Amino acid sequence: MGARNSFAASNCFNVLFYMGQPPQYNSSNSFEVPLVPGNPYLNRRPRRGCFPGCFRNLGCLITLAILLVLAIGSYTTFAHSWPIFGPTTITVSTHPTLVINSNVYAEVDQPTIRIHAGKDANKMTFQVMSPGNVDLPWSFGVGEWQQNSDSSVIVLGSDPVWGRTFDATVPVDTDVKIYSDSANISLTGLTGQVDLVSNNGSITLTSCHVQGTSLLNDNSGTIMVTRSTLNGEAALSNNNGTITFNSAIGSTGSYVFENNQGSIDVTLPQSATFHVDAKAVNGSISTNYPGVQVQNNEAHANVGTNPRAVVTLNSDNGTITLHKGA
Amino acid sequence: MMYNYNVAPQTRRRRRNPLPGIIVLLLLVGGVAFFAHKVQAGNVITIDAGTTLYIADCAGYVRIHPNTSSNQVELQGLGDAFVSSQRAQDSDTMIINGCNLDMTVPASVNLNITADDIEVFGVSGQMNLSANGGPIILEQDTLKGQSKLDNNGSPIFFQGSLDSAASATFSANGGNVDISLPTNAAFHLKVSGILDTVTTNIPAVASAVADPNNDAPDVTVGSSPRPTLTLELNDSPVILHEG
Repeated sequence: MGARNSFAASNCFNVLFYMGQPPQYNSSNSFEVPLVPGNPYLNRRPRRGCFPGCFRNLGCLITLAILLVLAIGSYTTFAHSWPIFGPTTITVSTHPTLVINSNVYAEVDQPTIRIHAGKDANKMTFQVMSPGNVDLPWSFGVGEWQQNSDSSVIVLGSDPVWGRTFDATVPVDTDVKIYSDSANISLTGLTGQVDLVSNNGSITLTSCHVQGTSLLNDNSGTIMVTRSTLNGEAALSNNNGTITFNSAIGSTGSYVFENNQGSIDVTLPQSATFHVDAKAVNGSISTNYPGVQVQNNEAHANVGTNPRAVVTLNSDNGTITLHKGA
Repeated sequence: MMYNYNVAPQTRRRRRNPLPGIIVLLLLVGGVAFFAHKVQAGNVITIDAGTTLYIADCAGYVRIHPNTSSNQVELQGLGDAFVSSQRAQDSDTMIINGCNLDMTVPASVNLNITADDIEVFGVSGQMNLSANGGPIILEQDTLKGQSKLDNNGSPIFFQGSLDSAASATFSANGGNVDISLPTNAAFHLKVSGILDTVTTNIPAVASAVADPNNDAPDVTVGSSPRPTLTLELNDSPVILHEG
Protein backbone atom coordinates (compact mmCIF):
# COMPACT_ATOMS: atom_id res chain seq x y z
CA MET A 1 0.00 0.00 0.00
CA GLY A 2 2.90 2.28 0.60
CA ALA A 3 3.87 2.20 -3.01
CA ARG A 4 0.32 2.88 -4.10
CA ASN A 5 -0.04 5.93 -1.89
CA SER A 6 3.37 7.32 -2.75
CA PHE A 7 2.85 6.90 -6.37
CA ALA A 8 -0.69 8.22 -6.40
CA ALA A 9 0.30 11.33 -4.53
CA SER A 10 3.11 12.10 -6.88
CA ASN A 11 1.30 11.28 -10.08
CA CYS A 12 0.12 14.84 -10.78
CA PHE A 13 3.61 16.06 -10.10
CA ASN A 14 5.03 13.65 -12.60
CA VAL A 15 2.53 14.56 -15.27
CA LEU A 16 3.04 18.26 -14.83
CA PHE A 17 6.80 18.37 -14.60
CA TYR A 18 8.08 15.37 -16.40
CA MET A 19 5.72 15.56 -19.36
CA GLY A 20 5.05 11.85 -19.37
CA GLN A 21 8.72 10.93 -18.93
CA PRO A 22 9.07 10.04 -15.30
CA PRO A 23 12.53 9.54 -13.85
CA GLN A 24 14.06 6.18 -13.94
CA TYR A 25 14.24 4.22 -10.77
CA ASN A 26 16.61 1.56 -9.79
CA SER A 27 15.78 -1.53 -7.87
CA SER A 28 17.22 -0.26 -4.63
CA ASN A 29 14.94 2.75 -4.19
CA SER A 30 12.05 2.85 -1.78
CA PHE A 31 9.32 1.48 -4.02
CA GLU A 32 8.06 -1.73 -2.62
CA VAL A 33 6.12 -2.79 -5.68
CA PRO A 34 8.06 -2.81 -8.91
CA LEU A 35 6.71 -0.50 -11.55
CA VAL A 36 6.22 -3.02 -14.20
CA PRO A 37 4.00 -3.03 -17.24
CA GLY A 38 0.50 -3.80 -16.11
CA ASN A 39 0.75 -1.91 -12.87
CA PRO A 40 -2.65 -0.15 -12.66
CA TYR A 41 -1.16 3.03 -11.22
CA LEU A 42 1.08 3.74 -14.14
CA ASN A 43 0.09 6.62 -16.36
CA ARG A 44 -2.99 7.48 -14.33
CA ARG A 45 -4.61 10.77 -15.06
CA PRO A 46 -4.23 13.43 -12.40
CA ARG A 47 -6.40 12.96 -9.35
CA ARG A 48 -9.11 15.40 -8.45
CA GLY A 49 -6.98 16.96 -5.76
CA CYS A 50 -4.79 18.38 -8.47
CA PHE A 51 -5.72 21.95 -9.44
CA PRO A 52 -6.24 21.51 -13.18
CA GLY A 53 -8.41 18.52 -12.49
CA CYS A 54 -10.67 20.57 -10.27
CA PHE A 55 -12.28 22.25 -13.22
CA ARG A 56 -13.39 18.95 -14.54
CA ASN A 57 -15.40 18.47 -11.39
CA LEU A 58 -18.88 19.90 -11.13
CA GLY A 59 -18.72 19.97 -7.35
CA CYS A 60 -15.69 22.22 -7.41
CA LEU A 61 -17.37 24.63 -9.76
CA ILE A 62 -20.48 24.81 -7.62
CA THR A 63 -18.37 25.37 -4.52
CA LEU A 64 -16.48 28.19 -6.17
CA ALA A 65 -19.71 29.77 -7.39
CA ILE A 66 -21.30 29.59 -3.96
CA LEU A 67 -18.23 31.06 -2.29
CA LEU A 68 -18.19 33.86 -4.83
CA VAL A 69 -21.85 34.64 -4.24
CA LEU A 70 -21.34 34.58 -0.47
CA ALA A 71 -18.33 36.86 -0.73
CA ILE A 72 -20.16 39.38 -2.90
CA GLY A 73 -23.27 39.20 -0.76
CA SER A 74 -21.30 39.68 2.45
CA TYR A 75 -19.47 42.67 1.06
CA THR A 76 -22.56 44.42 -0.27
CA THR A 77 -24.65 43.83 2.84
CA PHE A 78 -22.32 44.64 5.67
CA ALA A 79 -18.63 44.19 5.01
CA HIS A 80 -18.32 47.28 2.85
CA SER A 81 -18.51 49.34 6.02
CA TRP A 82 -15.60 47.57 7.63
CA PRO A 83 -12.71 49.88 8.35
CA ILE A 84 -10.39 47.82 6.22
CA PHE A 85 -12.14 49.00 3.10
CA GLY A 86 -10.60 52.42 2.96
CA PRO A 87 -11.90 55.95 3.45
CA THR A 88 -15.51 56.21 4.55
CA THR A 89 -17.77 58.70 2.78
CA ILE A 90 -21.13 59.77 4.19
CA THR A 91 -23.76 61.92 2.54
CA VAL A 92 -24.96 64.64 4.89
CA SER A 93 -27.48 67.46 4.85
CA THR A 94 -26.69 71.15 4.69
CA HIS A 95 -24.76 72.51 7.67
CA PRO A 96 -24.30 69.22 9.49
CA THR A 97 -22.90 68.57 12.92
CA LEU A 98 -20.02 66.18 13.48
CA VAL A 99 -19.62 64.64 16.92
CA ILE A 100 -16.49 62.75 17.92
CA ASN A 101 -15.54 61.23 21.24
CA SER A 102 -12.05 59.90 21.75
CA ASN A 103 -10.81 58.24 24.89
CA VAL A 104 -7.38 57.33 23.61
CA TYR A 105 -4.82 58.27 26.24
CA ALA A 106 -1.18 58.94 25.46
CA GLU A 107 1.30 61.14 27.26
CA VAL A 108 3.69 61.30 24.35
CA ASP A 109 3.35 60.86 20.63
CA GLN A 110 -0.31 61.73 20.75
CA PRO A 111 -2.57 61.05 17.79
CA THR A 112 -4.30 63.82 15.89
CA ILE A 113 -7.90 64.47 14.95
CA ARG A 114 -7.67 66.58 11.83
CA ILE A 115 -10.83 68.17 10.45
CA HIS A 116 -10.67 70.28 7.34
CA ALA A 117 -13.08 71.76 4.86
CA GLY A 118 -13.72 70.02 1.58
CA LYS A 119 -15.34 71.21 -1.61
CA ASP A 120 -18.43 69.05 -1.41
CA ALA A 121 -21.23 70.61 0.66
CA ASN A 122 -22.93 67.28 1.29
CA LYS A 123 -20.15 64.80 1.88
CA MET A 124 -18.01 63.85 4.81
CA THR A 125 -15.02 61.61 4.27
CA PHE A 126 -13.19 59.90 7.08
CA GLN A 127 -9.95 58.04 7.03
CA VAL A 128 -7.61 56.60 9.59
CA MET A 129 -3.93 56.80 8.85
CA SER A 130 -1.12 54.72 10.27
CA PRO A 131 -3.11 52.44 12.56
CA GLY A 132 -1.13 51.38 15.57
CA ASN A 133 1.33 54.10 14.67
CA VAL A 134 2.60 52.01 11.77
CA ASP A 135 3.02 53.82 8.48
CA LEU A 136 1.16 51.96 5.79
CA PRO A 137 0.80 52.99 2.16
CA TRP A 138 -2.99 53.11 2.39
CA SER A 139 -5.58 54.54 4.76
CA PHE A 140 -8.54 52.98 6.48
CA GLY A 141 -12.11 54.12 7.00
CA VAL A 142 -14.20 54.32 10.14
CA GLY A 143 -16.23 51.32 11.06
CA GLU A 144 -19.20 52.84 12.77
CA TRP A 145 -21.19 56.00 12.70
CA GLN A 146 -24.67 57.07 13.68
CA GLN A 147 -26.80 59.69 12.06
CA ASN A 148 -30.19 61.17 12.69
CA SER A 149 -33.09 60.86 10.29
CA ASP A 150 -32.15 63.85 8.14
CA SER A 151 -28.39 63.21 8.22
CA SER A 152 -27.77 66.53 9.89
CA VAL A 153 -25.92 64.98 12.80
CA ILE A 154 -23.14 62.46 12.39
CA VAL A 155 -21.79 60.75 15.47
CA LEU A 156 -18.72 58.62 15.00
CA GLY A 157 -19.08 55.47 17.00
CA SER A 158 -16.45 53.72 19.03
CA ASP A 159 -13.21 55.62 19.08
CA PRO A 160 -12.14 56.69 15.60
CA VAL A 161 -8.68 57.54 16.82
CA TRP A 162 -7.10 54.13 16.41
CA GLY A 163 -4.36 55.37 14.14
CA ARG A 164 -1.72 58.01 14.11
CA THR A 165 -4.06 60.48 12.47
CA PHE A 166 -7.80 60.57 12.06
CA ASP A 167 -8.58 62.76 9.07
CA ALA A 168 -12.02 64.11 8.22
CA THR A 169 -12.97 66.15 5.21
CA VAL A 170 -16.26 67.88 5.87
CA PRO A 171 -18.41 70.59 4.28
CA VAL A 172 -17.20 74.13 4.96
CA ASP A 173 -20.34 74.86 6.97
CA THR A 174 -20.09 72.24 9.68
CA ASP A 175 -20.54 72.40 13.43
CA VAL A 176 -17.94 70.31 15.20
CA LYS A 177 -18.14 68.83 18.67
CA ILE A 178 -15.11 66.87 19.81
CA TYR A 179 -14.24 65.46 23.18
CA SER A 180 -10.71 64.14 23.31
CA ASP A 181 -8.59 62.78 26.08
CA SER A 182 -5.17 62.92 24.47
CA ALA A 183 -5.64 63.43 20.77
CA ASN A 184 -4.60 66.76 19.32
CA ILE A 185 -7.49 68.53 17.62
CA SER A 186 -6.91 70.50 14.46
CA LEU A 187 -9.60 72.36 12.51
CA THR A 188 -8.92 74.15 9.25
CA GLY A 189 -11.15 76.24 7.04
CA LEU A 190 -14.47 75.56 8.73
CA THR A 191 -17.43 77.82 9.42
CA GLY A 192 -19.73 76.96 12.29
CA GLN A 193 -20.12 76.34 15.96
CA VAL A 194 -17.35 74.44 17.70
CA ASP A 195 -17.24 72.64 21.01
CA LEU A 196 -13.73 71.28 21.41
CA VAL A 197 -12.56 69.76 24.65
CA SER A 198 -9.27 68.02 25.26
CA ASN A 199 -7.44 66.83 28.31
CA ASN A 200 -3.80 66.93 27.28
CA GLY A 201 -3.99 67.27 23.53
CA SER A 202 -3.63 70.57 21.75
CA ILE A 203 -6.47 72.47 20.08
CA THR A 204 -5.61 74.34 16.90
CA LEU A 205 -7.92 76.41 14.71
CA THR A 206 -6.62 77.80 11.46
CA SER A 207 -8.62 79.89 9.01
CA CYS A 208 -11.92 79.10 10.71
CA HIS A 209 -15.00 81.25 11.12
CA VAL A 210 -16.41 80.31 14.47
CA GLN A 211 -20.06 81.20 14.78
CA GLY A 212 -22.49 80.74 17.60
CA THR A 213 -21.88 79.65 21.12
CA SER A 214 -18.50 77.99 21.07
CA LEU A 215 -16.00 76.55 23.47
CA LEU A 216 -12.35 75.57 23.29
CA ASN A 217 -11.39 73.92 26.54
CA ASP A 218 -8.14 72.25 27.45
CA ASN A 219 -6.38 71.02 30.53
CA SER A 220 -2.68 70.83 29.76
CA GLY A 221 -2.48 71.13 26.01
CA THR A 222 -2.07 74.33 24.09
CA ILE A 223 -4.87 76.29 22.45
CA MET A 224 -3.90 78.17 19.31
CA VAL A 225 -6.23 80.12 17.04
CA THR A 226 -4.76 81.82 13.99
CA ARG A 227 -6.16 83.56 10.90
CA SER A 228 -9.68 82.92 12.18
CA THR A 229 -12.72 84.89 13.26
CA LEU A 230 -14.88 84.47 16.34
CA ASN A 231 -18.47 85.62 16.17
CA GLY A 232 -21.13 85.39 18.84
CA GLU A 233 -20.16 83.99 22.22
CA ALA A 234 -16.94 82.06 22.55
CA ALA A 235 -14.76 80.92 25.40
CA LEU A 236 -11.19 79.67 25.33
CA SER A 237 -10.17 78.16 28.63
CA ASN A 238 -7.17 76.24 29.81
CA ASN A 239 -5.65 74.97 32.98
CA ASN A 240 -1.92 74.50 32.47
CA GLY A 241 -1.41 75.01 28.77
CA THR A 242 -1.01 78.27 26.92
CA ILE A 243 -3.65 80.15 24.96
CA THR A 244 -2.45 81.92 21.83
CA PHE A 245 -5.02 83.86 19.85
CA ASN A 246 -4.07 85.78 16.73
CA SER A 247 -7.36 86.30 14.97
CA ALA A 248 -10.35 88.59 14.70
CA ILE A 249 -13.45 88.92 16.82
CA GLY A 250 -16.91 90.17 15.90
CA SER A 251 -17.96 93.71 16.66
CA THR A 252 -20.53 92.36 19.09
CA GLY A 253 -20.62 89.30 21.28
CA SER A 254 -18.64 88.05 24.22
CA TYR A 255 -15.18 86.50 24.06
CA VAL A 256 -13.69 84.96 27.15
CA PHE A 257 -10.07 83.85 27.60
CA GLU A 258 -9.37 82.07 30.86
CA ASN A 259 -6.33 80.28 32.16
CA ASN A 260 -5.24 78.94 35.47
CA GLN A 261 -1.48 78.34 35.29
CA GLY A 262 -0.71 79.04 31.67
CA SER A 263 -0.30 82.28 29.78
CA ILE A 264 -2.81 84.11 27.59
CA ASP A 265 -1.51 85.84 24.49
CA VAL A 266 -4.16 87.66 22.46
CA THR A 267 -3.50 89.63 19.29
CA LEU A 268 -6.45 91.46 17.76
CA PRO A 269 -6.67 93.39 14.47
CA GLN A 270 -6.16 97.13 14.50
CA SER A 271 -9.77 97.61 13.54
CA ALA A 272 -11.17 95.63 16.49
CA THR A 273 -13.56 97.56 18.72
CA PHE A 274 -14.18 96.09 22.15
CA HIS A 275 -14.43 96.59 25.84
CA VAL A 276 -11.78 94.69 27.73
CA ASP A 277 -11.90 93.35 31.26
CA ALA A 278 -8.60 91.74 32.22
CA LYS A 279 -7.48 90.34 35.52
CA ALA A 280 -4.34 88.42 36.45
CA VAL A 281 -4.62 87.34 40.05
CA ASN A 282 -1.00 86.33 40.59
CA GLY A 283 0.43 87.10 37.19
CA SER A 284 0.93 90.20 35.12
CA ILE A 285 -0.78 92.06 32.29
CA SER A 286 0.97 93.74 29.42
CA THR A 287 -0.47 95.48 26.38
CA ASN A 288 0.51 97.85 23.59
CA TYR A 289 -2.95 99.38 23.33
CA PRO A 290 -2.35 102.99 24.30
CA GLY A 291 -5.73 103.46 25.93
CA VAL A 292 -5.59 100.39 28.11
CA GLN A 293 -4.08 101.09 31.52
CA VAL A 294 -3.10 98.32 33.88
CA GLN A 295 -3.58 98.90 37.57
CA ASN A 296 -3.27 96.29 40.30
CA ASN A 297 -3.07 93.50 37.76
CA GLU A 298 -6.36 94.57 36.24
CA ALA A 299 -7.35 96.45 33.12
CA HIS A 300 -10.74 97.80 32.12
CA ALA A 301 -11.05 99.92 29.01
CA ASN A 302 -12.88 100.64 25.80
CA VAL A 303 -11.09 100.31 22.50
CA GLY A 304 -12.63 101.91 19.44
CA THR A 305 -16.17 103.11 19.02
CA ASN A 306 -19.54 101.40 19.39
CA PRO A 307 -20.57 98.72 18.76
CA ARG A 308 -18.02 96.96 20.90
CA ALA A 309 -17.54 93.32 21.70
CA VAL A 310 -16.75 92.31 25.26
CA VAL A 311 -13.35 90.70 25.77
CA THR A 312 -12.63 89.06 29.10
CA LEU A 313 -9.12 87.94 30.02
CA ASN A 314 -8.69 86.08 33.31
CA SER A 315 -5.62 84.35 34.64
CA ASP A 316 -4.84 82.99 38.05
CA ASN A 317 -1.10 82.42 37.88
CA GLY A 318 -0.13 83.09 34.29
CA THR A 319 0.63 86.21 32.33
CA ILE A 320 -1.78 88.07 30.07
CA THR A 321 -0.59 89.82 26.92
CA LEU A 322 -2.91 91.87 24.74
CA HIS A 323 -1.43 92.95 21.42
CA LYS A 324 -2.71 95.38 18.87
CA GLY A 325 -2.03 93.64 15.61
CA ALA A 326 -0.57 95.05 12.46
CA MET B 1 16.56 -1.52 -14.21
CA MET B 2 14.43 0.18 -16.89
CA TYR B 3 10.65 -0.01 -17.05
CA ASN B 4 8.32 0.62 -19.88
CA TYR B 5 5.85 3.32 -18.87
CA ASN B 6 3.92 3.52 -22.10
CA VAL B 7 1.31 1.02 -21.14
CA ALA B 8 -2.41 1.74 -21.05
CA PRO B 9 -4.08 1.67 -17.61
CA GLN B 10 -5.65 -1.61 -16.81
CA THR B 11 -8.50 -0.39 -14.58
CA ARG B 12 -11.41 2.03 -15.01
CA ARG B 13 -11.36 5.07 -12.83
CA ARG B 14 -14.47 5.45 -10.66
CA ARG B 15 -15.97 8.93 -10.45
CA ARG B 16 -17.01 10.08 -7.00
CA ASN B 17 -20.68 11.00 -6.70
CA PRO B 18 -20.89 14.83 -6.16
CA LEU B 19 -24.40 14.71 -4.70
CA PRO B 20 -23.47 14.38 -1.00
CA GLY B 21 -21.11 17.32 -1.26
CA ILE B 22 -23.71 19.45 -2.95
CA ILE B 23 -26.28 18.55 -0.29
CA VAL B 24 -23.86 19.54 2.46
CA LEU B 25 -23.16 22.82 0.70
CA LEU B 26 -26.83 23.57 0.29
CA LEU B 27 -27.43 22.87 3.96
CA LEU B 28 -24.57 25.20 4.79
CA VAL B 29 -25.95 27.95 2.58
CA GLY B 30 -29.41 27.42 4.03
CA GLY B 31 -28.03 27.83 7.54
CA VAL B 32 -26.20 30.99 6.62
CA ALA B 33 -29.31 32.35 4.92
CA PHE B 34 -31.43 31.62 7.99
CA PHE B 35 -28.93 33.34 10.24
CA ALA B 36 -28.73 36.32 7.89
CA HIS B 37 -32.52 36.55 7.79
CA LYS B 38 -32.69 36.40 11.56
CA VAL B 39 -30.12 39.16 11.84
CA GLN B 40 -31.83 41.26 9.20
CA ALA B 41 -35.32 40.78 10.60
CA GLY B 42 -34.04 41.72 14.04
CA ASN B 43 -35.17 40.79 17.49
CA VAL B 44 -38.57 42.37 18.03
CA ILE B 45 -39.97 43.07 21.49
CA THR B 46 -43.55 44.24 21.89
CA ILE B 47 -44.20 46.80 24.60
CA ASP B 48 -47.15 48.77 25.97
CA ALA B 49 -47.54 52.53 25.92
CA GLY B 50 -45.69 54.13 28.81
CA THR B 51 -43.17 51.33 29.11
CA THR B 52 -39.69 52.07 30.36
CA LEU B 53 -36.88 50.25 28.64
CA TYR B 54 -34.34 49.20 31.22
CA ILE B 55 -30.76 48.29 30.42
CA ALA B 56 -28.34 47.96 33.30
CA ASP B 57 -24.60 47.62 33.67
CA CYS B 58 -23.76 47.63 30.03
CA ALA B 59 -20.01 47.90 29.59
CA GLY B 60 -20.43 48.94 26.02
CA TYR B 61 -22.72 51.03 23.89
CA VAL B 62 -26.45 51.45 23.52
CA ARG B 63 -27.63 53.27 20.40
CA ILE B 64 -31.26 54.14 19.93
CA HIS B 65 -33.17 55.42 16.94
CA PRO B 66 -36.91 55.88 16.53
CA ASN B 67 -39.03 53.60 14.41
CA THR B 68 -42.52 54.08 13.04
CA SER B 69 -44.24 51.62 15.33
CA SER B 70 -45.97 52.58 18.55
CA ASN B 71 -45.26 49.40 20.46
CA GLN B 72 -42.26 47.61 19.06
CA VAL B 73 -38.65 47.63 20.07
CA GLU B 74 -36.33 46.14 17.54
CA LEU B 75 -32.84 45.01 18.36
CA GLN B 76 -30.71 45.03 15.30
CA GLY B 77 -27.36 43.62 14.39
CA LEU B 78 -25.47 40.41 14.57
CA GLY B 79 -25.24 40.01 18.30
CA ASP B 80 -28.63 41.48 19.11
CA ALA B 81 -30.66 38.79 17.37
CA PHE B 82 -30.55 36.53 20.38
CA VAL B 83 -30.72 39.07 23.23
CA SER B 84 -33.35 38.17 25.78
CA SER B 85 -35.83 40.44 27.50
CA GLN B 86 -38.50 40.16 30.14
CA ARG B 87 -41.18 42.36 31.63
CA ALA B 88 -40.68 43.31 35.24
CA GLN B 89 -43.42 41.88 37.46
CA ASP B 90 -44.31 45.00 39.33
CA SER B 91 -43.99 47.80 36.86
CA ASP B 92 -44.20 48.90 33.27
CA THR B 93 -40.59 48.10 32.73
CA MET B 94 -39.11 45.99 30.00
CA ILE B 95 -35.74 44.65 31.01
CA ILE B 96 -33.38 44.02 28.13
CA ASN B 97 -30.52 41.74 29.00
CA GLY B 98 -27.97 42.88 26.55
CA CYS B 99 -25.18 45.25 25.78
CA ASN B 100 -23.65 46.76 22.67
CA LEU B 101 -27.16 47.24 21.36
CA ASP B 102 -28.43 48.97 18.25
CA MET B 103 -32.13 49.48 18.82
CA THR B 104 -35.09 51.15 17.23
CA VAL B 105 -37.88 52.11 19.56
CA PRO B 106 -41.23 53.91 19.39
CA ALA B 107 -40.70 57.66 19.10
CA SER B 108 -42.26 58.06 22.53
CA VAL B 109 -40.76 55.78 25.15
CA ASN B 110 -39.09 56.04 28.53
CA LEU B 111 -35.49 54.98 28.96
CA ASN B 112 -33.49 53.87 31.96
CA ILE B 113 -30.02 52.93 30.81
CA THR B 114 -26.62 52.50 32.36
CA ALA B 115 -23.90 51.98 29.79
CA ASP B 116 -20.49 53.21 28.80
CA ASP B 117 -21.69 54.96 25.69
CA ILE B 118 -25.28 56.06 25.10
CA GLU B 119 -26.69 57.63 21.96
CA VAL B 120 -30.35 58.45 21.55
CA PHE B 121 -31.79 59.99 18.41
CA GLY B 122 -35.30 61.37 17.95
CA VAL B 123 -36.97 59.97 21.04
CA SER B 124 -39.35 61.65 23.46
CA GLY B 125 -39.77 60.45 27.02
CA GLN B 126 -38.48 60.33 30.53
CA MET B 127 -34.85 59.42 30.38
CA ASN B 128 -32.53 58.31 33.10
CA LEU B 129 -29.21 57.75 31.42
CA SER B 130 -25.97 57.11 33.20
CA ALA B 131 -22.56 56.66 31.64
CA ASN B 132 -19.16 56.10 33.08
CA GLY B 133 -16.33 56.89 30.73
CA GLY B 134 -18.12 57.30 27.44
CA PRO B 135 -20.35 60.04 26.11
CA ILE B 136 -24.07 60.56 26.41
CA ILE B 137 -25.29 61.94 23.10
CA LEU B 138 -28.90 62.96 22.61
CA GLU B 139 -29.95 64.46 19.32
CA GLN B 140 -33.46 65.70 18.49
CA ASP B 141 -34.88 64.32 21.70
CA THR B 142 -37.46 65.63 24.15
CA LEU B 143 -36.90 65.13 27.85
CA LYS B 144 -40.01 64.54 29.89
CA GLY B 145 -40.80 64.01 33.56
CA GLN B 146 -37.97 63.54 36.01
CA SER B 147 -35.15 62.96 33.58
CA LYS B 148 -31.50 62.73 34.50
CA LEU B 149 -28.40 62.50 32.38
CA ASP B 150 -25.43 61.57 34.52
CA ASN B 151 -21.92 61.23 33.23
CA ASN B 152 -18.74 60.56 35.11
CA GLY B 153 -15.92 62.07 33.16
CA SER B 154 -17.12 62.20 29.60
CA PRO B 155 -19.28 64.69 27.74
CA ILE B 156 -23.02 65.11 27.54
CA PHE B 157 -24.26 66.45 24.22
CA PHE B 158 -27.93 67.34 24.18
CA GLN B 159 -29.69 68.90 21.25
CA GLY B 160 -33.43 68.90 21.68
CA SER B 161 -36.18 70.29 23.85
CA LEU B 162 -37.57 70.07 27.35
CA ASP B 163 -41.20 69.17 27.83
CA SER B 164 -43.02 72.02 29.54
CA ALA B 165 -43.58 69.91 32.67
CA ALA B 166 -40.15 68.31 32.69
CA SER B 167 -37.56 68.50 35.38
CA ALA B 168 -34.30 67.60 33.73
CA THR B 169 -30.99 67.23 35.52
CA PHE B 170 -27.61 67.15 33.82
CA SER B 171 -24.91 65.86 36.13
CA ALA B 172 -21.30 65.97 34.99
CA ASN B 173 -18.02 65.19 36.65
CA GLY B 174 -15.36 66.91 34.60
CA GLY B 175 -16.80 66.20 31.19
CA ASN B 176 -18.32 69.03 29.24
CA VAL B 177 -22.04 69.65 28.98
CA ASP B 178 -23.28 70.95 25.66
CA ILE B 179 -26.97 71.81 25.60
CA SER B 180 -28.73 73.21 22.54
CA LEU B 181 -32.35 74.21 23.06
CA PRO B 182 -34.82 75.59 20.54
CA THR B 183 -35.02 79.31 19.94
CA ASN B 184 -36.84 81.16 22.72
CA ALA B 185 -37.02 78.08 24.93
CA ALA B 186 -38.42 78.84 28.38
CA PHE B 187 -36.93 77.17 31.43
CA HIS B 188 -35.88 77.62 35.02
CA LEU B 189 -32.16 77.07 35.32
CA LYS B 190 -30.54 75.93 38.54
CA VAL B 191 -26.79 75.49 38.66
CA SER B 192 -24.85 73.90 41.49
CA GLY B 193 -21.38 72.54 42.14
CA ILE B 194 -18.06 73.79 40.81
CA LEU B 195 -18.47 75.88 37.70
CA ASP B 196 -15.95 75.88 34.92
CA THR B 197 -16.43 78.02 31.86
CA VAL B 198 -20.06 78.64 30.97
CA THR B 199 -20.66 79.84 27.44
CA THR B 200 -24.14 80.88 26.48
CA ASN B 201 -26.04 83.06 24.07
CA ILE B 202 -28.87 83.53 26.55
CA PRO B 203 -28.40 86.98 28.09
CA ALA B 204 -30.08 86.23 31.41
CA VAL B 205 -27.91 83.17 31.93
CA ALA B 206 -24.78 85.00 30.82
CA SER B 207 -25.41 87.71 33.38
CA ALA B 208 -26.03 85.24 36.16
CA VAL B 209 -22.95 83.12 35.58
CA ALA B 210 -20.76 86.20 35.14
CA ASP B 211 -21.57 87.37 38.63
CA PRO B 212 -18.56 86.36 40.74
CA ASN B 213 -20.66 86.52 43.88
CA ASN B 214 -23.19 84.04 42.60
CA ASP B 215 -21.98 80.49 43.15
CA ALA B 216 -25.31 78.92 42.38
CA PRO B 217 -27.05 80.75 39.57
CA ASP B 218 -30.81 80.43 39.58
CA VAL B 219 -32.31 81.98 36.48
CA THR B 220 -35.69 81.99 34.81
CA VAL B 221 -35.78 82.34 31.07
CA GLY B 222 -38.92 82.96 29.05
CA SER B 223 -42.49 82.81 30.22
CA SER B 224 -44.45 80.07 31.99
CA PRO B 225 -44.80 77.17 31.81
CA ARG B 226 -41.11 76.63 32.40
CA PRO B 227 -39.49 73.24 32.76
CA THR B 228 -36.70 73.00 35.28
CA LEU B 229 -33.18 72.54 34.03
CA THR B 230 -30.70 71.62 36.73
CA LEU B 231 -26.97 71.48 36.14
CA GLU B 232 -24.91 69.62 38.72
CA LEU B 233 -21.32 70.35 37.80
CA ASN B 234 -17.93 69.38 39.04
CA ASP B 235 -15.50 71.57 37.15
CA SER B 236 -17.31 70.91 33.91
CA PRO B 237 -17.33 73.41 31.07
CA VAL B 238 -20.80 74.19 29.79
CA ILE B 239 -22.32 75.39 26.57
CA LEU B 240 -25.94 76.44 26.88
CA HIS B 241 -27.22 77.48 23.53
CA GLU B 242 -30.58 78.57 22.16
CA GLY B 243 -31.49 78.48 18.52
